[in-house]
Amino acid sequence: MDDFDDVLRSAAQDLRVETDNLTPPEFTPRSSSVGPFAAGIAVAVLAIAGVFGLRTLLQDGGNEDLEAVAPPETTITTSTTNATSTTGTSDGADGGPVSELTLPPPMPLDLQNAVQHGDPVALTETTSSSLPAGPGTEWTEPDFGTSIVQVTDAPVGGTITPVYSTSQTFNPSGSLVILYQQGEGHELYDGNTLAPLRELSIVSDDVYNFSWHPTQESLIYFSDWDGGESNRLIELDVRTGARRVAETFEACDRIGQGRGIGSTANGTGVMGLLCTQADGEHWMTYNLLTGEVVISELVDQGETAPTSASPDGTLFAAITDTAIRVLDGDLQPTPQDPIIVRADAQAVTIGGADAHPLALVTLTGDRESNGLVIAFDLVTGDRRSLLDDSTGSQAVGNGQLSTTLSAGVVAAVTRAADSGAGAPYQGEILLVDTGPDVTIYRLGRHRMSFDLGFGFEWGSTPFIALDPLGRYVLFSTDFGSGTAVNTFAVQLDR
Amino acid sequence: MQRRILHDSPPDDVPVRANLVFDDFYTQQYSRLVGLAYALTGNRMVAEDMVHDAFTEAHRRWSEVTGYDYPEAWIRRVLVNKCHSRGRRLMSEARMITKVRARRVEPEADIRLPDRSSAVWEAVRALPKRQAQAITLHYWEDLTIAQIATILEVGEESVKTHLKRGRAKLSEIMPERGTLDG
Repeated sequence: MDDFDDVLRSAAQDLRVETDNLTPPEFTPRSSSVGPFAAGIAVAVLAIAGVFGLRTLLQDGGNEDLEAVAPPETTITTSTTNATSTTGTSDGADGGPVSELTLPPPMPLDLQNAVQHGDPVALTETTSSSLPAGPGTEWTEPDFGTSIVQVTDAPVGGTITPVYSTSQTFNPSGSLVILYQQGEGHELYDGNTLAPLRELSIVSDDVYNFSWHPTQESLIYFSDWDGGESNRLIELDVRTGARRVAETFEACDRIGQGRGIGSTANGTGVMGLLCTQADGEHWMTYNLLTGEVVISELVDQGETAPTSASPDGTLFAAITDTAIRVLDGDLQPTPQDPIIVRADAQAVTIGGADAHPLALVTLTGDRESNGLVIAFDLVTGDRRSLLDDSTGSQAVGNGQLSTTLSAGVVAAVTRAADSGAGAPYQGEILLVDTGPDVTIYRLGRHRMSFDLGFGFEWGSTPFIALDPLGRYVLFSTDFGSGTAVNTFAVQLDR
Repeated sequence: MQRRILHDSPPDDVPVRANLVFDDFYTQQYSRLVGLAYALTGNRMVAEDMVHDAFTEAHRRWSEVTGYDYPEAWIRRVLVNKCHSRGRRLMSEARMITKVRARRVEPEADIRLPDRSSAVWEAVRALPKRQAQAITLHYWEDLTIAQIATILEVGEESVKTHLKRGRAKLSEIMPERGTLDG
């Protein structure tokens, strides 16, 4: 033992004198997880108000032992000449009891009877007698005529929603659905019948950050959260509950997705992550099919994880509040990088036609003549307004988005200004075909209470998810009841 | 095993309490954990926030935590991980707030250590993560090598190495502090 041993003991004693008599404040547990959007708000609130209590709080609800098994053979490459290239090897992986997936054809939208932009709609006041009757029951939207079925049965004060658009609620084949019950955890549903299957134990760095395997229908992946961040990627078979460490990224002290507001494209086999090393954060991609890892050079603080924008992993978008970084498969900037959004982006999703992946951005605040939902072509840099003030409302507010990659269709919800009859495009469920002739379908009004008295604001935001087979649009709402938020399905094939 | 800590036998001197009550656990552990978090972050406000986070996590899964042989180790593991990752982020935010609002921590609200000890803990925080954690758990918590190994989920030899290297590094960067009189 050296002399410093005594110095450290003395320093510990001094600290003990200062802390031994601390009186514990009355304990009130914080409300649980918030999404990346809310986390962004929290940062702003922190900066303005100096409040330390508003942050993402992520729970480890897992009670299953992790079984460390050999990951697939992994090749790590770096995208710069000055970074260290590392190669890790192992033998082949046993993917477990999973089902092979057949990717669906492009979404068969047949919505000739749906209300489109320009069609006259009489918006009526919501009354209790005009609300859905309960779980499993069908209901006809009184203003738009669509068929809606209640999927979940949340307890009083509870909230069960699709996952936020940073993750895909549906698996790529549409056979499985993951919903999130606030304060309880994730739940698995049958994508065909929308019947509940089982509770899940997803313990990620953010409850809204996980990725589906592109070809094995029941496997999801998320960065491990076991009391703290780690460099482990967990694979969970949502049908069986079997989990394993899919990969340990030795090149990273920890992995995560930062505070990104970008979504994970449906059907891609490449995950985008942030890799924290001793010198700071690096963009990283991990190919679930090949095990290939690409790590970029050091990125600026505040960058978000890259989001795969094409199934083959050749184009990525890293999205911040005001810009879209456009990266190639080596995580190098493309000629279009960066695309400046010129307004506060509130939610982003990646999708569109394969040849021209789109970043779809909802804007809020002073939009400087931008629309509410803008589609940025990541190949050409062109921007198109899909929803804007010309669609009928100057006060649409912000919205949530969900999309599928290959079909070029985006589902969106807009916030309502209040719970009254509202104005066109306020508080509505929308489906937008982003093809050359942009078509907007108005599916209904979610009637979400503007300010629920339970949970927290994030839980009061309607979330939305689009079935890749074009059968359903899922959305969450309390239908103005103020008692519970449930997930409902607009049945597109009715 | 990735979660060895949850099922290890407790050290001999730690009794198993099957009927552990959260409020008691909170009261018993609070000040020690704040001290631990302070040693690792250097900011009382951040330390208390980290401790609150850790207890919130314990509260939410209390039925599970009480099933552990050694809940004290579990919450320390949660806390040191939080201090390493989220603590650094919060420290950055705290500095930003201070800059933006010229916010000042009231003297009576902060932990005031003698300059010598303050410098020692600052130097500990500058060590590599594992060295800082091992040093802090050993000297602040008076934990044994085996207990630290359980909390950090590393081998005992690894803990010894972290302690040895940590002390050597401290001696390098604070040579004038090498003795109590220094």
